[in-house]
Amino acid sequence: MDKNRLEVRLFGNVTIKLNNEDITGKLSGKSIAIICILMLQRNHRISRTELIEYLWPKSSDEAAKYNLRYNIWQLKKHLRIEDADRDFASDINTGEKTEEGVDLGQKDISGSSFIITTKDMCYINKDWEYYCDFTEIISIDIKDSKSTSLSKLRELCDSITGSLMENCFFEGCDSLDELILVNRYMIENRELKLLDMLAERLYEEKLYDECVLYLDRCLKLDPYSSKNARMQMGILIEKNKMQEAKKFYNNYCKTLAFDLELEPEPEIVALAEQIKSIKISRETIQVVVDESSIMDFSAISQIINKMLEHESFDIIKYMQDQYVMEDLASISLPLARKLDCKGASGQPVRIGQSFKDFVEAMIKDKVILWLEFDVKADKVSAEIIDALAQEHRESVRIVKDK
Amino acid sequence: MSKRIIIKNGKILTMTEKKYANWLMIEGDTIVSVGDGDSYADYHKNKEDTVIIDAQGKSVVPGFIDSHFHVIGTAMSRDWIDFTCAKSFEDIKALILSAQEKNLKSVIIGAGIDSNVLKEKKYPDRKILDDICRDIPIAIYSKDYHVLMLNTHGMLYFKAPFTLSGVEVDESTMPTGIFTKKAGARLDISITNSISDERIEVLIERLLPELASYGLTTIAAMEGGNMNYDYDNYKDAEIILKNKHKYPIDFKLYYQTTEVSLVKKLGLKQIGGTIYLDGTLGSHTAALSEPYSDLPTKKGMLLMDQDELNDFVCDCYKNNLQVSLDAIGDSAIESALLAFEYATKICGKKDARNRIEHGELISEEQMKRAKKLNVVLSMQPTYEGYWGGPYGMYSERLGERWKNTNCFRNIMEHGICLCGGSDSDVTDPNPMTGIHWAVNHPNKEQRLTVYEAVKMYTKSGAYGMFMEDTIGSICPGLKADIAILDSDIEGINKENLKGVKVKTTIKNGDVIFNG
Repeated sequence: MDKNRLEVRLFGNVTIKLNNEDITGKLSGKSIAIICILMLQRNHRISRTELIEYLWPKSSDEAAKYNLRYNIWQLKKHLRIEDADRDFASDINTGEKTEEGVDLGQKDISGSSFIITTKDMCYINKDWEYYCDFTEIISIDIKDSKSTSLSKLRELCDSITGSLMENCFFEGCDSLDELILVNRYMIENRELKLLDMLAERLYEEKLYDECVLYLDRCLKLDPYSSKNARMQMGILIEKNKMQEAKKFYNNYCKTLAFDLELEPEPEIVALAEQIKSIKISRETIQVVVDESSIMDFSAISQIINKMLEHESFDIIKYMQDQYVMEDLASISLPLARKLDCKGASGQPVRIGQSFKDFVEAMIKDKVILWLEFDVKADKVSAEIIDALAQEHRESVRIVKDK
Repeated sequence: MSKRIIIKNGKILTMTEKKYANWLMIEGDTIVSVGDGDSYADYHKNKEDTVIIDAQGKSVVPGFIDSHFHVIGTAMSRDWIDFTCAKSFEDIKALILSAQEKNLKSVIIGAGIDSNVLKEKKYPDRKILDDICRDIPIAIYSKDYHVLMLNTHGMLYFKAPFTLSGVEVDESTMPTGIFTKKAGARLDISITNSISDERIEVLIERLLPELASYGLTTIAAMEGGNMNYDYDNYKDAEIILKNKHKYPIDFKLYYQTTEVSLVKKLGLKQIGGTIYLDGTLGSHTAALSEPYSDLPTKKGMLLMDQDELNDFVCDCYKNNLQVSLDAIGDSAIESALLAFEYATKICGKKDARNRIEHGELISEEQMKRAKKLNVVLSMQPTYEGYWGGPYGMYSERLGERWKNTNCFRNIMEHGICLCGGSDSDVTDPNPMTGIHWAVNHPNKEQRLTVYEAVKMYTKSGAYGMFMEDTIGSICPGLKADIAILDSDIEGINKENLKGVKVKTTIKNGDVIFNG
């Protein structure tokens, strides 16, 4: 027979799954708490007395014992152990009676249950296969980052989907609330350490896109960390996402200034300067299209004509291939004159591509293209320009229908 | 027939060319007639259902306009418990218990505890607060807002940050509930964010009568994310947009964002309000051209790159959006002016009325340029009451330069449109407090007359929001937004201005407050 598998997730809202079926809703708050408390124990063992101290500190001894036994019985039942009823029956044979007159007993019970109870102890049956996100995180050696594989680190970090036992508060159970608190304190620091480790590894391996995701999480936990801010900006610069790098820097400065009245460290300021210097070398070419017809490519032809009017701007240098020149000359008479070529009677697909190549050559040279339309562009031009603007948000800007 | 109201026997400050009048008549939501003496009597005779309000010789002004107001921040602060009078843990307990009794609260947030004043000479930690109350999350700020105290439930509920410096723990690494430094700063954000939209809506509803009692009829609502720097959180602005039609007071939303397309899509004609170009003088983060007097290594810093700001302002020009920037130090004001100049150069001159919020340290040379650009200055006279003068915070930070803060007289003389606001909840939202400090400026050379100060909160406020054709003055054809005061504010001793109360507030012809 296949082993039963229990999955306990303590991060975010607590969920308990038995063989992939979510059974959290079927369990009482205290039953769930029993599982959580067991999971929070180092060896997953706890004495009955301690459990009672956590869960029913204010009840009489007798009532507390009954409550514990009742909840454990309920747990076993919902964990669908076939012999749960028998366990309870065997449990109740010692002559103790509850208010309802039910006998309660304390006998060793069958080894098939997920939770095993003895006279004094509760513990988890090692024969069961079980997974607990919290336990996994605890078992990692965070001092030696190389001892854990990248994929394991990733998996661990992904398993943390919220605070430990989020939205849990047990009224009247002071020590239980404190147990959660002290573990939250410990685990959150561990989480940050793991995220740091993962981000660093991803950075080393140049897996930048992924690295940014985890850095983001690090920065949510510690938005002031200069190390992470440096890494984040480094990546954005590396990936030529200057606007994003700037936005990040601005927000980082604001966070430091408003929360802590601090300024960023010199190294980060230097990175920001680096971005600035790149920006300064960018040239903005502004084109206002004021006449256009519905003829294919008429707007693009206008753009090229207008660019030619900018005396300081050498558009020819961005037409790196002969066919680009010819294609564009075919839709712009002034260009054809300037190049002294007639222009091939290009095919629409090729002209579109040539214009794209031409604009991308400008972008590569850090030119910003600012296009304004007074009138609606023809459909063919509009599609090509929109696609360019979509793809190069930082470099091609469009103001339509002024 | 629409209802008719005549306010007679008043000293009406009309804010029009003919500065004063004695009576005005409202029909429906509009002012239909304004006159002197008792010439209103003719109108009265012809109609029996006219309501006559006798102003008893006191001042009548256009409904006040607050040009810089954080609605949600103010609404939330009204829900806090004030612990400033607590002298012992016992007092703290009494305050918490009475708050609990008065109104069933799901969380308790408060401020004002000073450990020096407490008998115990220390802040109450988790255990002490737990003894007072365990079942409701509690968070209390110290008087200087640098220390936060939480009970156990509060720590779990507000998701106290445990990875940052400033988490106090006991010998068994159990957090004590006292948070300072980075952890305190982060916790502050989670506390603010923990308040649900529904709760915020209730709190705004509760704030409205208070605002009406100050004679406020229009407010420039500076809203964005909950936190100053959080550009991705537009929750607050969205709450105002969703509900503003329900409110008796007009909220003009300044959406704190640099996303032009977002604001365009919403059909707003203005953007920004609290787009921070620098920080504050109190925290040494306002950007100055010369170092701070009490911290000679620091000049503060600019929070936005000039090129980026230029592009943003240009974008606003092209999209016909009025842009409002938050700048305090002279370097930040410079940056704002440079951006406005750049945009004017690229896009041509137009009636943009771009705004600088606060502008505390605008220089003479900058005033000239601001005038040329027709920039509107939206300023807070009450700052002078809090921080001005030779011994205030301004003087501590700036030395002799305290004389250069909020130079209202010079600004007026340059012909710049100067609007008044409270920056509530930073200062008292009552416009009379603002008027008081504009008239009683600690720097005598910069004082305004009462009439000029009222103009800041009426006509100029309207101009600053492109609303001068509908509100801000008392003349026929404009909306009937009126405040009747309990004194003749030009007749009383200037030092008593802040004690002046509003008797009646009228918005669009409806009486929304009657004191």
